Amino acid sequence: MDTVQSYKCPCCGAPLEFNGNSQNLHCNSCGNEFSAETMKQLSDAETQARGASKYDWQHYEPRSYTNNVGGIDLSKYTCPSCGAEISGDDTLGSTVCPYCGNATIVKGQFEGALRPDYIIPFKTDKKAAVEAFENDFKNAPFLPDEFKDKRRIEEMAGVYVPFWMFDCDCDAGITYSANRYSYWSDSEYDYTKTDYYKLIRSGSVGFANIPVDGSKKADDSYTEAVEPYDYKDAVEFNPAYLSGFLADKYDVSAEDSIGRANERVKNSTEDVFASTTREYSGVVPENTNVSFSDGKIRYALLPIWMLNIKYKKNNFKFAINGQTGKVVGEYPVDKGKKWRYFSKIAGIAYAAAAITAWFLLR
Amino acid sequence: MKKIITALMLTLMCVMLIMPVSAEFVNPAVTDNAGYLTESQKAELEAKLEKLRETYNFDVAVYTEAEMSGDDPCSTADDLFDYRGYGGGEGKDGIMLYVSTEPRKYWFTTHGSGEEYFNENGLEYIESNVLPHLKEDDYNSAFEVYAKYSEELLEMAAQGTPYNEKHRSGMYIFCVIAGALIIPLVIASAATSSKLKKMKTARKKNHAQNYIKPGSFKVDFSQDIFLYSAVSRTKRAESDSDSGSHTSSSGESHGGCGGDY
Repeated sequence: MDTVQSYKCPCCGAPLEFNGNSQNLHCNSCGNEFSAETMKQLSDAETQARGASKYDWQHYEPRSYTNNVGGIDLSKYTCPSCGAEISGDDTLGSTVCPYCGNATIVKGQFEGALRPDYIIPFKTDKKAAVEAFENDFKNAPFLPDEFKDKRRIEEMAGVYVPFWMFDCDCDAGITYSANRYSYWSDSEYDYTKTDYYKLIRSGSVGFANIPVDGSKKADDSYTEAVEPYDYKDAVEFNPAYLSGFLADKYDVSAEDSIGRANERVKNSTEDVFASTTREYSGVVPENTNVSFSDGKIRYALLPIWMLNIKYKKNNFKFAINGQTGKVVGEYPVDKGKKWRYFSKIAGIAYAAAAITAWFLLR
Repeated sequence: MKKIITALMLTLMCVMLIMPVSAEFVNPAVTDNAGYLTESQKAELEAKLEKLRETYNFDVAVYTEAEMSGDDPCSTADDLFDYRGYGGGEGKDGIMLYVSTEPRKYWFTTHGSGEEYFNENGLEYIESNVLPHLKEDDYNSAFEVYAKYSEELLEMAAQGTPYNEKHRSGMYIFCVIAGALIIPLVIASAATSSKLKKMKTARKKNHAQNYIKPGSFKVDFSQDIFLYSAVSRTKRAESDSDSGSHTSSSGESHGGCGGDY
């Protein structure tokens, strides 16, 4: 049986009726008219974009490895405070948890671990990491002066943090609503004309090595902020790289990390396609359809220096990218400095405002 | 006898030199063709304006018409002033308030030293006091107020400091002061907030642009469908009043301001 195609007004949602005189579809509610061809294109695009996204990742099961594979003896270190279970060189002298700063970390028998597909070895050594940190806090505008002298590095450990790496080649169909404005005036009125558009984009984009932190103990805001890594330095995993460092073991499964990967893929796909709509304003994605099959997941260890700084009885955490030396964290704020800066800017702005007001009122 | 005549002549010459030269005003101070004033109101106003004319050697006049004789109030007032010989002294110094009923227009035209004594700010000052009465068709009060403030401005000019204060509405003053108080706080808050962001750099990343494979982004289909347009309009900020220095049809320079009432 044939079905009759009916269209709704893109402006107000009311049903459109065919107008024999204009040969267009007319909206009795808001008075707009659309050509039949436009409405068909719109309908096709929306049907395509409204289809459910398909994020199809391959099932991934890391292989395991046992002690002394790479010629070094590993031990297991457990933190009774935060529950972190970290592998490390048997001879490691570390007794403080790199995540929570607890000093009662317990050394135990290494029981085997899951073998990462690759690892980015530490490129920034401890001295360089400390220098990077000291350079970074010079740029912190409201840092208390005492912090420079009275800070105490409670613990600094190089940790290989487990990440799930996601690769996918996406096909995407996205519809955006967008506007264009034009302005003119006559002797009596200023006019603003808003042209409303529906933008349709489809195509493909590939992502490689989107990292999602696989450790519950490692704060995602730190592990994501130290990105990006240069994967040219990634090598096949060998336990020998762990010598002198700690290695966390993942406690968030690949399946549980997929949601975060999908979120980043979707946001970035919308953004990259939106780069083709620069001549419009108010571009808002309406429907996004991202589909891919056989997305690859791999397991990797990425290097991060975890730094716990003690200052006035408080602990401040920092993370330094072990490859690039990028420093992230949260510095203590000197409220006096903050308000002095506020007052200085307000003072300058008030002086400028007073002069301007004087000219306007004189 | 000859000495007496010579002495009288010298005395007369001295008196003429000492006394200020009184300008001759060929037109009456009040010409009420529109018939806004009663005879007594007209006489009273005329007396006041004549007193100003004599005191300051400066023409202060009122001219009304039931139907505007020119194309617009500015050129009408200027032409009346120039061609009918208003103004006093060599500079034809003076001010005239012109009012017409059809259309409801008014114009203050100034000439000679009137352009300085009744400068833009001075005219705005008089206009702001006269206009409310015109709008209520209370012409007598409007002309009384015109005479009063003309005297005030002429007195200031005679003291060597012509009125030159800008007239501002209460709302304008309020907006300027409120802006001057609030905007610096907003700027300081935004600048401080921007600096505070540098104190906390550990933030999640919701995008993955760094991980797009080079050359992998391809757009297979791109279409921009125009849906509809909407036009909105806002009335332009229109001043009922116009002002400024200009040249009349006779080639004379005039100051002035006016508009609808």
